[in-house]
Amino acid sequence: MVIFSTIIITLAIVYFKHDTALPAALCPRSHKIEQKMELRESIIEEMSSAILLLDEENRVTDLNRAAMNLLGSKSSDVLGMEIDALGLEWLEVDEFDSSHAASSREVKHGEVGHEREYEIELLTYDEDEVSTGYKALIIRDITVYKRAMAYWEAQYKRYSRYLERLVEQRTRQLRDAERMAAIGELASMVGHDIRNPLTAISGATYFLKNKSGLGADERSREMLDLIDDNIEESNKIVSDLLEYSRDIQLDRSATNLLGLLGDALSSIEIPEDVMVVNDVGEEYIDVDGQYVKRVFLNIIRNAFDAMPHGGTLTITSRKSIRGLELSFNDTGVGIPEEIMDDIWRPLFTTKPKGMGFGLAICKRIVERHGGEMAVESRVGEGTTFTVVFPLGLDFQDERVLLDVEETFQKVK
Amino acid sequence: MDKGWFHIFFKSIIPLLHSNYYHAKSKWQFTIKWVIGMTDPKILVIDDDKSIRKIFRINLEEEGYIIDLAESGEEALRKVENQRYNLALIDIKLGDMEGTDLLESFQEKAPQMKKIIVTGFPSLQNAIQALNRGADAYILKPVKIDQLLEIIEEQLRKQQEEKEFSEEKMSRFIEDRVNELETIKEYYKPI
Repeated sequence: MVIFSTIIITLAIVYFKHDTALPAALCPRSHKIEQKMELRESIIEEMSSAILLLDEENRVTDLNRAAMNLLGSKSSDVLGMEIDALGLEWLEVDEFDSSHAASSREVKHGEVGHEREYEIELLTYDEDEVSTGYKALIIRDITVYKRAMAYWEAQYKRYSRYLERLVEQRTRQLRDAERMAAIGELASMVGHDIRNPLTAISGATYFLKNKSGLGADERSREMLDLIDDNIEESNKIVSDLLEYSRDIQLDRSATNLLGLLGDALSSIEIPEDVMVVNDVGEEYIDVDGQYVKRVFLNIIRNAFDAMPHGGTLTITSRKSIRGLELSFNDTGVGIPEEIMDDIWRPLFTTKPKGMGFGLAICKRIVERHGGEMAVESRVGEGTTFTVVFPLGLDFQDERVLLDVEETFQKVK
Repeated sequence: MDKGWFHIFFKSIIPLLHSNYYHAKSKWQFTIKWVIGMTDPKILVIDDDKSIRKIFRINLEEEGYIIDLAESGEEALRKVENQRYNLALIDIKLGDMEGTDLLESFQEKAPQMKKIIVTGFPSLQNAIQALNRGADAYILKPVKIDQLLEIIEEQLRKQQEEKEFSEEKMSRFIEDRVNELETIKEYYKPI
């Protein structure tokens, strides 16, 4: 009897303490089902989304760990309480469309400045197609997801716009290049052909000056000299025209900026009443020295021309996101606003002599290098020409990359 | 050869038949020069522009050159085959061909003739190409007559030097051969 009861008691203890062991041995099939259910239980318990089971009065009948964290209290306090009373009125259960078995909404909640976004799914439980009023609420914190989406959407829009601008720019460039090629061919032919008549005029003038009686008379000789000078002038116009319409082939190499500038300055005469301040750093840029020197010369000459009564030309350099920026600032007469846009056009000049190709060609050269040229000016105060040469990557690509980096930092 | 009076008289008639006689500015000068074996340099001007041909002709004839004109590459080739010129002025763009195309044929038919290319393209490439294909010099349009005259003088001077040098070479060569022959004669004499 004692042995029998001991066995019974032992079995009972074993059963209650290790409630899986005995049943497992006694009944294998139902054990498997139980195992499955327990697995599900633990999944539900441990999952990151909060689950709340409610009855028809919106009272909490069950909840998982995430839900408890959301409430910040123990399950014992929560069970049986209405969700509104638990501070979860923001779930707005009644706003759900109860005609569907499952529906979801997005809700924002939290302290101002620390708001989180949630996706709330409401599942209703029906028995035999009759609503029981029992519901399950699944609450997911989608803040990070939402922010990431917003970030990428913004990036995408931004990049789209950038691409659009790029396409526009490239199309313009292509059209310009095509037009230039057509003009170039035409100009080349015209220019070359004009040189024949010029030769004839020049030859005739030579004869008149040196081999005919006309050369003896001083006034006639002056006239013939005038003809000669104008032949020169015409020829120069032709040269400029051919130059401008020629395709620019760059022969790039690492060039010392300071050296190049020095070369340019030493090759022209600096007017007596003009002071030149060269404040350029020791930089190397990947450019065609010959062409860039011409650009510098052109800008410097313009500066000198703008200061007929003396002044100062200051040349500085600095590195920026766009590349290496060179500024040429003069204290000259300045450029009136009305003609600011016109100065870049070919054949535009405010001077009596010269065709006015200078700035147009300069801009072309600089842009061919992938750079930019701009001007700022105030009448009576002076003018600043800025030339930017890209360093390394095409500056536009670099700028986009940096933008992406910055925004990414902010999202975190 | 015995120079009898007939010979001298004959020589003074021939200039009248010589084509260059008609081109020469001073017939008297021409005759004298011809008699003593000197002739003015002959230049062929090849350009399809009428005014330029005229201008070059007038200005060059003033300097004493004998000028002949050609309008096209074809005409130029024909003329070069029939006559000898000291120098040719070739415009780079002719109606029927590029001036540079003529250079090769000229090199074949008249290797001594100096060839100057006249071009309106100041590119280095063109210059190098012209010189590579056999031009002796080039001048840019619009052409300044004084520069043209300088270049022509330079080329003719070179030509004269080359001629003298080759004449010298030739006479020295002949001298050497004659000496050789003399030595051989000496050698065989005793036999």
